[in-house]
Amino acid sequence: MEHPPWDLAGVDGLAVARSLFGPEVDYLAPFQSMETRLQDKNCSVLRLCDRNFRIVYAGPLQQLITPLKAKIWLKQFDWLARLSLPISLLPEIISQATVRPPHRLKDIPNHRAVPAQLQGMPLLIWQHPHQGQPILELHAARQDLKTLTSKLEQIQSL
Amino acid sequence: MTANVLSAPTYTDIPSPLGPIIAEYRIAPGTAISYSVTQGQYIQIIDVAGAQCSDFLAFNANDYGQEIDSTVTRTLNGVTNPQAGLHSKYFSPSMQPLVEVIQDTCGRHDSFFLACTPRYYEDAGYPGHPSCSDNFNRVLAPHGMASRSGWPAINFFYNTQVDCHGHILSEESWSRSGDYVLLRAHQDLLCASSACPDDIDPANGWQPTSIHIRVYGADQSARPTFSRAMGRRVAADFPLRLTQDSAFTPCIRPLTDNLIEYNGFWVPNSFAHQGDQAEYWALRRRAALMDLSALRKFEVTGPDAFALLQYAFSRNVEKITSGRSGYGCLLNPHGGIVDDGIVFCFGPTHYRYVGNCDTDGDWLQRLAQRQGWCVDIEAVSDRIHNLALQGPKSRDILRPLTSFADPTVTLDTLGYFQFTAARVGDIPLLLSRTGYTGELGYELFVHPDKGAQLWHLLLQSGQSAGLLPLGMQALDRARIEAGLLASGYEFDDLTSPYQAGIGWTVAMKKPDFIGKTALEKIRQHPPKVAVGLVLAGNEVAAQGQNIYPRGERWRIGQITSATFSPILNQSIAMAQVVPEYAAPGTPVEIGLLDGIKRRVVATVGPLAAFDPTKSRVRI
Repeated sequence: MEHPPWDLAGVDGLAVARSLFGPEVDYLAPFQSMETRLQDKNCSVLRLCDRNFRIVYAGPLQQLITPLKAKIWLKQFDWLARLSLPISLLPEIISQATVRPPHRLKDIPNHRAVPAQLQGMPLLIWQHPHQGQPILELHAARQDLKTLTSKLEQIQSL
Repeated sequence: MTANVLSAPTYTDIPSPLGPIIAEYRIAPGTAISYSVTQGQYIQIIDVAGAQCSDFLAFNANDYGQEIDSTVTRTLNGVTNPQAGLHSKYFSPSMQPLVEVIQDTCGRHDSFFLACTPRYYEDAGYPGHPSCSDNFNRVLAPHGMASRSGWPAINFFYNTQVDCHGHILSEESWSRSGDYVLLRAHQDLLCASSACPDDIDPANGWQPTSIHIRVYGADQSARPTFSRAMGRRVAADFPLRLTQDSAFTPCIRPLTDNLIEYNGFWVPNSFAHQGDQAEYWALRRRAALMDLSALRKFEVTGPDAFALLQYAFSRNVEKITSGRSGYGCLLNPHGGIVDDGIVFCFGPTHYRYVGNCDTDGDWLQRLAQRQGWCVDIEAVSDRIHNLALQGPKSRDILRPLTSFADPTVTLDTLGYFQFTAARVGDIPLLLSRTGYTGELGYELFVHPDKGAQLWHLLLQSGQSAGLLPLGMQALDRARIEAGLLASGYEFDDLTSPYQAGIGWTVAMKKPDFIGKTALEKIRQHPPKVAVGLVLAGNEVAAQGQNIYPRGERWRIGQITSATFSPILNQSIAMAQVVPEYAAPGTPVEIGLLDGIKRRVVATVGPLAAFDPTKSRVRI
């Protein structure tokens, strides 16, 4: 398990994201993502809604945002877990996962996340490059981590 | 009560079956029945005589604890009652779908209230009056279900609404004779249906009548016999219209499940793996393709075609010469907008009106008859469907594909609001330099037989240029930026063009046209005028919110449309305000929430916040 991502949301969510990542962040539709650099560190930005963003970043994001004095909150949810997996697992996971319309898993492109259920367990499936390498990232409730890991091991053994 | 399909009576008081029937039941007025269906089967609940409510219960056949839960249903769908389309399912307490709305010709139902209860009648002075809840108790008892004082049913055809004071009001049902709801069972179910006995108020038109149930086989799902559809009525003398696909919808369905009903057609709200902003930016920076077949087209021909349109349409049709079109509105005698649209001129005796309403043609016909004019009005929407290809690269995408019947015409010489016969690939069509996005663009009017071919050709050809299909969410953002009107938002038939912001389309110098007398007075001082607003901060306004002078309690107008503009990086709105506060630069306040808790300052500006001079469309 890796460090949880940062979640950012609020009235000024888009304004803060633009301030950090440039206007390109507003080219993202909900559940689209981009890779960028922030203070010489790699950064993955996933837009969840008009003013909601999830950011994978190892640097001190709070220190960059506080001076903006914007109407947002910034949190690392202690109930959210993040797993990085080989992209080769994606087809097998797709075959076993379900989605609720209008979301789709079929032909999920790069830089895209989809809320899905893996054998009834809710998670977010996110395909994006990280540090130049394509990865499959899963976000799930921390309380489901053990069960999820076990399911993934079963899938990997197939 | 239960009819074996082999010896079934023929019912002449209801429409023909939708397909082969598994079972059917006639529910006598004031009674109820229970019946079973299996997963995949369809249940059609038919209002026989009209204005008759029918309450419905459904339980998982193996676990009666899993029954329809309206609170869960509303929460998961985000609508008051499920509708055919994306938010169509009724759910159990464990959030599993029990039934799904496939078709609905009424569109007005209730799930706020219980099925009528003995208590309702007792409190009204009718102790012992039959009730749906008692009837349900009776028919469910043989299945081992305990009686309830009131059953939380889906009350089909029951007309209720919540008013601004939070009161739940009920009135006579909207349903007509033959109206129905078609449901699909997602599980094996025990169902119960009633013909509500309420005769002490208008709910059933004061006269309870029968309900008819038909059950169709599950194998319907193997064939697209039961297409998803909402029924809409636009006028008393117009037939019910069920939501339909355009020529392009079969091409669009593989690309998205996010379809919504718009003006009688299934249209994409956004596309899978793309979405609002991605599609919007494709439009603004490259090109986007959208299905606008929901527009209604009418051929206006005959010796008096010009006279009719000159009278009915706001523009001076003399200036709309052959090969040109003009945007304006159809007017009514009090100067209100019947519809906005575009008149295309093919010649002095041949025009095409393209608008939004099925009733436009009928309105034109009536005017012609009143005036004694010799005109034919033909609705041609069924054989003309249309795509819009819009964006800075739209011309580049079309250039290698397009040839013209008139060799003097090129894409570069086809001016704004000009049109011509053309071929895109080998597909004959009408190519028009028009659009609804504020971008350079074209509308392609084509026979539905060629629709799929055209869609695939354009998408494929535009791929290298970054062409994306565009959904309604992104389109709405763009049209608000461009200050373009939407029916039901910026105007209705009580709104004059001067209030809506299209006073420039009224050719007041015409000697006579419908509504002229009223408009001459309105023009002097319209009650409100259309303006654009730019909000301070990042909150987005919403239609209907009130506008105030700075620091005042009394209103000066209302928001008609609002969005966050990505290209301007600002929250913007279209509004109508009293003329005294319409000067550019005027600061106003928009009341968010309850209008008191939060006010946002906004500044009056042009109706089109983006490219107000229309430079991009005229390239």
